[in-house]
Amino acid sequence: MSFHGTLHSLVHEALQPDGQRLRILDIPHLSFAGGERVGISGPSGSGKTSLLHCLAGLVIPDHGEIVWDQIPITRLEASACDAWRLRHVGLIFQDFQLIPELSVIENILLTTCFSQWRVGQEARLQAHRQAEALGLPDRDQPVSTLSRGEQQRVAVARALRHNPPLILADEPTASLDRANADKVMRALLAYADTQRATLVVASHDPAVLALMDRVIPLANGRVQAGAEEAS
Amino acid sequence: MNPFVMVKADYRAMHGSAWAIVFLVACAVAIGVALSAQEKAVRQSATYAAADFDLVVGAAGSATQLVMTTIYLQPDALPLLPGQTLKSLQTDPRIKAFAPMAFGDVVAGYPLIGTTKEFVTRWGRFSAAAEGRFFAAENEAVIGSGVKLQVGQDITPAHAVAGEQSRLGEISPQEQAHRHAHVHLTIVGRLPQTGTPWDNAILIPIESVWETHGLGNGHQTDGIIGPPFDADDIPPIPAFVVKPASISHAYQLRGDYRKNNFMALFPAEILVTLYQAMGDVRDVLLVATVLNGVLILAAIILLVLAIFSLRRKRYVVLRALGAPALYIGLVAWLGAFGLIAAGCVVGLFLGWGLTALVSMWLSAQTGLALVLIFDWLQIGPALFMLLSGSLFALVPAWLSYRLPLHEGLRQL
Repeated sequence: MSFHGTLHSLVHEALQPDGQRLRILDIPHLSFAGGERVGISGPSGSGKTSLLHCLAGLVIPDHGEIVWDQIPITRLEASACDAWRLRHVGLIFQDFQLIPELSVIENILLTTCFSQWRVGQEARLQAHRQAEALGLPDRDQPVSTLSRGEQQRVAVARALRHNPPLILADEPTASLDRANADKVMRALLAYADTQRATLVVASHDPAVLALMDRVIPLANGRVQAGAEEAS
Repeated sequence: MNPFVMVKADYRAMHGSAWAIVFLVACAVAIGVALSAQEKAVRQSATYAAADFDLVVGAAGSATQLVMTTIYLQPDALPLLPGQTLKSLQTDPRIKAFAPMAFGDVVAGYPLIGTTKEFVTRWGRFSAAAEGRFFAAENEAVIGSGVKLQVGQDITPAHAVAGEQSRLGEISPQEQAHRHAHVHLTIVGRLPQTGTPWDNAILIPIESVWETHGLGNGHQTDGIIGPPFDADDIPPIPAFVVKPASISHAYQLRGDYRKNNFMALFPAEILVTLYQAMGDVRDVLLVATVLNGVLILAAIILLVLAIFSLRRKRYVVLRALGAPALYIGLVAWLGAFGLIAAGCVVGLFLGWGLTALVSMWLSAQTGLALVLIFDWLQIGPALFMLLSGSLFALVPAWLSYRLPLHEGLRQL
């Protein structure tokens, strides 16, 4: 699996409460090699999440193009982009975004329900194996009763469910203690290694960023001078 | 695609507010169904009660009163027909059968009606009494199926007081005071159920009524009951029920007995007018119910919008995870549909239950056995509510599409 991406002339503005338009992203060029681990660093408000959302097709930038594996996702219709994301992207959010009323296994299998009426035995077994590998013992427990560390591991299992070639993680360890943060990162890196998946992690945790092949430092929506070349 | 996983999760998240939707819908549907079913039941039962009364003949006066008194046994003093009418009816070849009806006395609150065996057997439809036998002599009585007296029991009639509505089965002080103390009747049989007010009546030979009031017995010799009535002087009679030999004869008879202080009518003529009035009342009630329904629908829609707006964040997350629009739409629509459908089902049963209760009360009051009619038309408003209510649940889902995904993820 070699899932590479490029980003050209990306400009995105947001409307401020005072009516002014604020440029939140302005990145002339970025590229992601297949199987590469890339960190995005920067203080709060530097544009990390916005960049990640652009890369996931969650937002269409005002200007510029993003191409993943020869597919220009910035030109896709919204529905086609949603379908592309389901097939190719494992998304991990800072605040997990799990469905609290569903059990561990139901959350992991949720994306399967988008396309299938019945979850097959094989898929179910695989989901159980994933949960086991992530150290989630009771898979029938509602996720609302789990610790934050366990919840993020459920979110990781859900993201990896379809063996996506691209993992986009937004502050995956921000609300976790060190031990849980390590577990989550180990799981993501192990997956990326075995599947040769491209991993992009936005974080301001130096320990997380140290695990990446390279780090793109962002400030005010711009890649800091020399960083791209230096890495 | 399996939206039910998310629908289940949504219901769990809603807690009590889901029940509020079910409750509101159930109330709205129940009121509508009860109203429509009740009106239909009354109409059907009233028509059925008139089935044995082909043509009713009385003295000129209120046609409605003639029908109400003769068929539905609503007590009132009818003007009397001369006894000679009986003679002309019994020789009229256009008449297959006829029965005189004499009202005015009560026993234990039950109306006592003097008539002939032909009518007691409902023109031969009843081959035997349900218990005991039909009357065969003066001073014998048969009771309707609902009368709480025993076969073999002796009874003494009392003169009913005009305007006094006696309670069935209860001896009022007025009845006590106006007893025909010299008259003793024996109950010899109980009639099969008819589902009409006549189930709460006591029937005796008309001769007994005349004798009670010292008017003779309509025959030249004593001890005979029923036609032919051959006395020179036959006592006056409040009403006749006539079974014409054919439809054309029926119309001829109706024409003939509309002259010279007579009045003849088919019960349907009066019932149509009554139903029209009932229909008008129903229309007014329907308008009120529709307005009520509109208000409830508005409340349901607001509730659905409010509850499903809380789910917007969920729709955004589902979309971020790659769920197609159809999936999210189905989750929202099925969620609301399930709740409103549950409300409709509960409401339909509640409405029918309510109708059954009101019918039982009305039956006890009037003797009309109200048959509940379940009609697809009653389900129509429920279906409308189901479709319109559940469609509104799509609004929050649609709004979650209007919001750019990354803003939704941040804001909601």
